[in-house]
Amino acid sequence: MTSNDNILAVEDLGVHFGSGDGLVKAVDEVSFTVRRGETVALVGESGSGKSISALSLTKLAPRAARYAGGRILFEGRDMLALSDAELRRIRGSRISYIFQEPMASLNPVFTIQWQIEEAIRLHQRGVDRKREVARLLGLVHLPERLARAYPHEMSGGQLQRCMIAMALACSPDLLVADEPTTALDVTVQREILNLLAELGRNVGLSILMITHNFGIVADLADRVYVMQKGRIVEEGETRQVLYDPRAEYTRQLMAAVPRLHPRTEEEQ
Amino acid sequence: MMAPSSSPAGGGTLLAIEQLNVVYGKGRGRVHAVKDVSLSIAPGEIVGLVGESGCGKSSLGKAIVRLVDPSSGSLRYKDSNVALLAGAELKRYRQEVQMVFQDPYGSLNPRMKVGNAIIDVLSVHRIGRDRNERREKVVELFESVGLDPRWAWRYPHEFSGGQRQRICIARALSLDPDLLVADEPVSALDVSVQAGILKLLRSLRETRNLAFLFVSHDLAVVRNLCDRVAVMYNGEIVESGPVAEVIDRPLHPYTRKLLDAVPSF
Repeated sequence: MTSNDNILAVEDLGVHFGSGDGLVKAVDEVSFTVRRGETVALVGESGSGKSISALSLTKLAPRAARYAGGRILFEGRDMLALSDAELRRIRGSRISYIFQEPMASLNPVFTIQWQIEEAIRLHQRGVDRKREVARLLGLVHLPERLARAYPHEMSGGQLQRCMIAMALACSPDLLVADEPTTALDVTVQREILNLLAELGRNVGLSILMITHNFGIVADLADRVYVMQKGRIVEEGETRQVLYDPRAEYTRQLMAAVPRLHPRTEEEQ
Repeated sequence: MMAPSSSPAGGGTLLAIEQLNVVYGKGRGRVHAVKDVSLSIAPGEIVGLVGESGCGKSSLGKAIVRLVDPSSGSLRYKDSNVALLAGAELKRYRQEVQMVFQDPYGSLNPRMKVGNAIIDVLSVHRIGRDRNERREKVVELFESVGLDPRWAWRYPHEFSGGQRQRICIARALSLDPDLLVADEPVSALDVSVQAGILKLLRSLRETRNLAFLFVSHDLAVVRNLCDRVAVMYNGEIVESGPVAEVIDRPLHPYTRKLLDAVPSF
C-alpha cells in the first residue's frame, strides 16, 4: 500500500489544553490513516480524545485547544498549515461531519431544503439547488416532499438522514461521523448504519467513524484504532482487533460490553 | 398476542399490573400509550422492559410510580390497590417504589449540593431525627453506591455522568425502597461506566432484595442483568418470559427484528 492511497494521514498529532500543572494532552502523538473508500473507526470512552481528534482534522477543535505539533495530511496537504480561507473551502465541501444530536445540529427555524442548500450555496455555483436537494434526499432514502418540512416535524432517524444528506451535498471525499447513532433506537440505528455502509460502497466515500460501540465497529469498519487518554493503544484490521486484541485496554473495554448471547460468544 | 407473565415460583408478588391502559389527550389528539398491559414483579426480581422510543415503556414506568394516572386496569402493590392510595398510604408507597431516570444531570438541581438533595428527600419523609443524623445517612448512602462520601457536598457539575447516576441511585435508595423503576439508567453512559452501574444494581438486589423494573432499549444489557423480560411494541406487550428464552428463542417477529438490529460481534 503506497501512501498515495491515503486520503488522510495524521502524523504525531498533539492537541493540548491548559498549561503548566493544568496541562491536558487531549490528543497525544496520535497517528492514523484513512485510505480512499475505506471506513475507519476510532473507538474509545468519553474523554479519550477521539472527538477532539476528529474535530482537529479541519481545525474545528474548541478555541482553548492548542495544536502542539504533528501534521494532518489531507490529500497530501497539511491542514495545520492552511489559512482560514483555505480551511473554509475544505470544511463541509471536501471533509464533512455528522454528529450525535441531529436536532441540535439543525436550525429549527429553516426548512430542510434551506439547510441542505446551505453547503451548496457556499461551495458551488451554477447548480440547480432544488434538483440537487431532491437528489440528495433520494440518496438517503427520504421522500422529496420532506424538503419543505421543518426539523420539529421529523423523527430522530429522519433528522439524521437529513444530516447525512447535508454532509454529502458537495460530494465530500471524507465523511467524519461522530457517534452518529448513539441517540437513536436500535432499529433506526440499524437503518442508519446500513445507509452509511451503502454510501461507502456505492459512492466510494471514505468514512472516519467515531464511536464507543464495538458492535458498530464490527458492522462497518475495515480498520480500527483504539484510543485511551489521548493515545492510540491499538490499531489493526477490525477482525483482528475484535477477536485477537493485543492491548490490555482493548481487552478490558471489550469485556465491559454486554453480550446478547453470552455463552455462544465464549464457545467461539 | 398477549402473554401475561407469571412470577417465579415461591417469590410471591410485589407488584401486579393487570390490563393496564394509559391514554393521553382526547378526540383527534388521543394517544393510547399503554394497551392492556399485564406484568408482575416479585421481590428481588429484575424485570426488563424493552422497546423503541414511543412504544409506551416510559408511560408504563410513570404509571407505576403514579406520575401519570392509568385510564383503566389495576396496579396492585403488596395487596393494596395503588390507584386508591391517598394521604399517608400514598406517601408510604412513594417511599417503597422509587424511580431513576436516564439523564442524571437533568434529575439533579444544578444549584444544590448533591448531599443536600438527598437530605431534602429524607426531611420530606421524616427519616432521621435531625440534620446530623441525615448527614450520616448521606455518608452511608454514598458508600453503598461506591462514591467517596467526602464528595457529598459538591455540586452536580463536578461529577461525571456515571457518578451522577450513582448519586441518583443513592437518592432513590435513601428511602429504602422495595422496587426501583429505572428508566434507561445506563443508556447515556460509556461501556465501562455502564458495566460499573450494572454491577451496582446487581449487588443492590443481593444485599437489599431490591426489585427492579429496568426500562431499556438495549437488549444486550437486559440479557446480562434481568431475570425476565417483556417486549413492548406500540403500547402492547408482545412477548415476555425468562430473559435467556426470549432472547435466544424469540417468538414474536418484532422481538426478532429488535434482536437483528443490534450491532454485535
